[in-house]
Amino acid sequence: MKSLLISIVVISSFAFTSHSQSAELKSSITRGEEIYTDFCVSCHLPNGKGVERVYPPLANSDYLKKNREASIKAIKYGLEGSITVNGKKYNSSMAPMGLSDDEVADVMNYITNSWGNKNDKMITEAEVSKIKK
Amino acid sequence: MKQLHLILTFILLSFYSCAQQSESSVKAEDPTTVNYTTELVVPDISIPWGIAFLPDGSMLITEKAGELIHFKNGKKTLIEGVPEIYVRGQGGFMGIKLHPNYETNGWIYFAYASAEGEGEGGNTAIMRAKLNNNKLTDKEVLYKASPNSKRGQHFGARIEFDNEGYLYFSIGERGEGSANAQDLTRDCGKIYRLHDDGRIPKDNPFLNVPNAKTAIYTYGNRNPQGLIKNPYTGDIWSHEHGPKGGDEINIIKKGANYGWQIVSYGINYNGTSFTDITEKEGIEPPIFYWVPSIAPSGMAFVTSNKYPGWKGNLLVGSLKFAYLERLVLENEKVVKREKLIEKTGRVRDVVQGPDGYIYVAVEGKGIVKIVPKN
Repeated sequence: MKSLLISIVVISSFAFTSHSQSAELKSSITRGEEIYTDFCVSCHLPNGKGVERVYPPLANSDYLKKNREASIKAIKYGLEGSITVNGKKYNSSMAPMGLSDDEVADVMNYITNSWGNKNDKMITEAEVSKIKK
Repeated sequence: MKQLHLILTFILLSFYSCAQQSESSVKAEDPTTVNYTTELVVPDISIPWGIAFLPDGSMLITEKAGELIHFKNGKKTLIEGVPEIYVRGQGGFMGIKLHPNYETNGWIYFAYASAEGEGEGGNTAIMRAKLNNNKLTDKEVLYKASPNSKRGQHFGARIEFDNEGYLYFSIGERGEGSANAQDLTRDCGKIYRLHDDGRIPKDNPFLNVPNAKTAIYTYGNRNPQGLIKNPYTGDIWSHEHGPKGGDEINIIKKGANYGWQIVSYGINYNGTSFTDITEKEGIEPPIFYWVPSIAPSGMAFVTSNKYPGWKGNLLVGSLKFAYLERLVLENEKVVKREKLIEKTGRVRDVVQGPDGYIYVAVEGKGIVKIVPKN
């Protein structure tokens, strides 16, 4: 009986945590969409597809999927030099946007969960703040 | 249920389906012959936003993140005492221009995003200062748009002088559309005119409009990042970014409304339209519009004889397509467009140096000189 009670508590707390996590993620994504519309859309476009050879795609981007830290760093500090995205080379530069750490987290959560991208491991302000230049 | 979903999707799609746009009347062509090469004269600059040549032939370059670079005898020196820059989104250290009488008065003019003043965020400011021993001195803020905003878009900010010595500068609408651009009592979405010391000219067009910002010279501008005196006519020419399509070249006329966001050849980034009309009485039409957008930045007239066939042409940088566009004009109409230095990188600025050569500011590279072949 006791063990049953414990498991109920454990399970429900799990459920609660994951529920609150997903609610948190949802609202972060919503805020991230606003940041995206404000700061990113004119180059990476509403469909996240970018412009071939100039602005790399975010939609189904292998780079974004495999390089979580480098992606956060790029948004936080800007990006220079050559990167390869979905087999194509990009050698443009992205300026640092001047976003605060919570805004970087929000827009990361938006782009990693849009246009077919999926990321369950939410990016937090704390994670962004730990990433240095 | 699934069917209903499909039908709803279809209806929504048909609402949102791409608005019809008419392409530019003149298309950009690939060059038939290339009579030039390029030389990277100043390497390693992330975002060279503006270039100004000093009388000794050396160069001042603004870097968006907040540096002022003096390039002389093959060496870069960082100038001290630059204004505090609000770096966010498209805002940073931007336009630079020397006073027409720089050799006697030493004034250099800067446009930059600043967090000073009312409200959270920042907005475009215009400062003049002098350069002494690698340091900016005698700094005077001549204008600061307000209120501040945390939005990332549309700061302008180019500076130009006309033949009478008036100072012109552009400030974009900060992502607020008509709310700023069509309201004379609000800053942003305008081209401004001042005396060189910041005083408001007595014949500025909106002095009698109640509560108007009296520095305003034109309105209804979206985000002009090209502003230059046509050396043949003395008129001030500008170009501005449209949304998706609808970049424009305009000749700046006192008190004119350039129509943003009432008329446009552009549509929203997501393909929906915000206006059905491209012209309207009382709104100054562009002399040329770009569909699709090239994302124009920087503008220069070629007046030298260094490049056969280019004299009198207009050069405009393209951020989006990473080339420099050469526009051939006839009676102030564009009759031909040609792509130069393709795949160079995002072009931020273009100037004709005092030596008659063309210098181009390229993101991720630096300053590139176009060298004619003999």
